[in-house]
Amino acid sequence: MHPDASKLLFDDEVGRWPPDLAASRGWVLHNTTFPVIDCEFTRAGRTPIRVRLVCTDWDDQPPSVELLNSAGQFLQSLTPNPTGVFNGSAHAVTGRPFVCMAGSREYHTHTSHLNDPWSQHRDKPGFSLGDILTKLWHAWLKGSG
Amino acid sequence: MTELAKPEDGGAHGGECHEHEHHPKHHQHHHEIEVLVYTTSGSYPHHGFVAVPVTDKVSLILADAKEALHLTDTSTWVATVAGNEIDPNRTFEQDGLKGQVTIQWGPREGGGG
Repeated sequence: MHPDASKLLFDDEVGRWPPDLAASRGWVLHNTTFPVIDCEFTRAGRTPIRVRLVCTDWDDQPPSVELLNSAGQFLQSLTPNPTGVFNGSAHAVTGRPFVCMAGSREYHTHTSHLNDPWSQHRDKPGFSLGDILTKLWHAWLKGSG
Repeated sequence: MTELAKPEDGGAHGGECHEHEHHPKHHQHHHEIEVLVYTTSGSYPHHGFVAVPVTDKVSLILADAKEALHLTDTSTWVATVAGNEIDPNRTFEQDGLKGQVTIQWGPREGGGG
């Protein structure tokens, strides 16, 4: 994907988000400048988490999802979550906890999911950048800590 | 007292919410709720809130939002209010919603393994 085309897709998607969407969901958008969406999920009684979607080559490739603390440092461990989306083990490529969900680059490059390539999800409902971010948020809401 | 003002499947969103004859003092707005639906594809309505009967199923307003926002497949989507999942197959009243509510609507998480 040519970077300019990728940026057009990215900007078009992020540009459709309602202006008050983030605030209404408890999201803090630290950055939405191509190729990065850096969004912090917050909720009363919970430790916030930042998910940084690095969307290089979108949408030929899914975003790489980095898990950070409020200060922007990589998380070395994760709070409890029953969904299986947030995987606390070290990813073979990044060596860090990762998002184990279709739509994240770490999922599709994980040896356990090489038979579920991104090409099977790309362009399908539920796999826009906003959808992926929303699914991460829904998963995080079901956790604790 | 619980009052059932209209059939749940009436489909007349934003329509009338009649007072009951034995409670003429009650204003019809007591039987309505103001709703805003947020998705990452846009909001419904585009500005402000839409008033609907509290006896409407939540799924009715979500269907309106789906049409207005040209959403293609919402079969796996989940609706939440203040971070808590609500049941679209129940009425606003049955879901314990009143006043002014913002529904967050989007795809349910999946994956793991």
